[in-house]
Amino acid sequence: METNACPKTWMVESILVTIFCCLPFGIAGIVYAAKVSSLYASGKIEEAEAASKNAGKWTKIGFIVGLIVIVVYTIINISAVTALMNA
Amino acid sequence: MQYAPTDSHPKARFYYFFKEKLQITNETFIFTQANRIFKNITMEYYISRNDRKEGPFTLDELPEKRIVPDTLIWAVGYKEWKQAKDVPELESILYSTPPDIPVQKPMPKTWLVESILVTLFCCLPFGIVGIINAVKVDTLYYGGFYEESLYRSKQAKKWILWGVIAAAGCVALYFFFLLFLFLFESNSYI
Repeated sequence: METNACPKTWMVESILVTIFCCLPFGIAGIVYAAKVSSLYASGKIEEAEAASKNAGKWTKIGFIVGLIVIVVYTIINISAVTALMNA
Repeated sequence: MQYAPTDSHPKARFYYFFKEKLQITNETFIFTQANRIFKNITMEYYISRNDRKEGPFTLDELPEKRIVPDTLIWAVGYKEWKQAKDVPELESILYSTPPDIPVQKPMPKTWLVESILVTLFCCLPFGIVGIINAVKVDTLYYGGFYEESLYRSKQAKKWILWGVIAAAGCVALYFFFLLFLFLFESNSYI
């Protein structure tokens, strides 16, 4: 079945990832996210879908990397605090 | 004439009635018939220009009249005025000289690199707005939306500028703060 609806832009998600998780991957997400709607507006629906997929991919990568960084940072902090308390 | 209807004949009355009403002679009647037969040779055209009717002109006279594709043309048999480009026999006149070369407008500056740099080093929120606008410039340009592309380019430039101004303001405030702190501390020691 062929649908002509505009594919998901991932704009909000990629901006949130840029601000809170991982800036470089978030920017890549924003770049693709911004292309989705303008490609769709110029009738290039397949390219818009490809851009949407790329935006989703980079947003997810950024989210996971950001999550890992935050978790690792928290673990290091906790272990440092416990080490200081033990000393 | 042997076969001419007599005046008393019903057909004759019909004939004279129309001859009188339409004020046509046998000659003009023959001429209009011939006109229809040799339409392409004797067809006469009227031109509408600046709300004024000009003509009639023959097909041979038309090239001197500087007709453009949207000049309005009328000839016998046309229900309404037609644009010259819709009249097939005028094609050779309209397209005998080369048309204006289409002006290729260059793509507006995308500002993508600048906006990413602003996002990284100056001001994240304004930089993001800059990136969103910057990315749309080229896709809109290649999609044929030149005006929108130009608008996005200007928007990107504007937000980059605000990002730089915001960053410069922050740095300036920081140094003023340091300066005041230094002055205050040096005063307290005296």
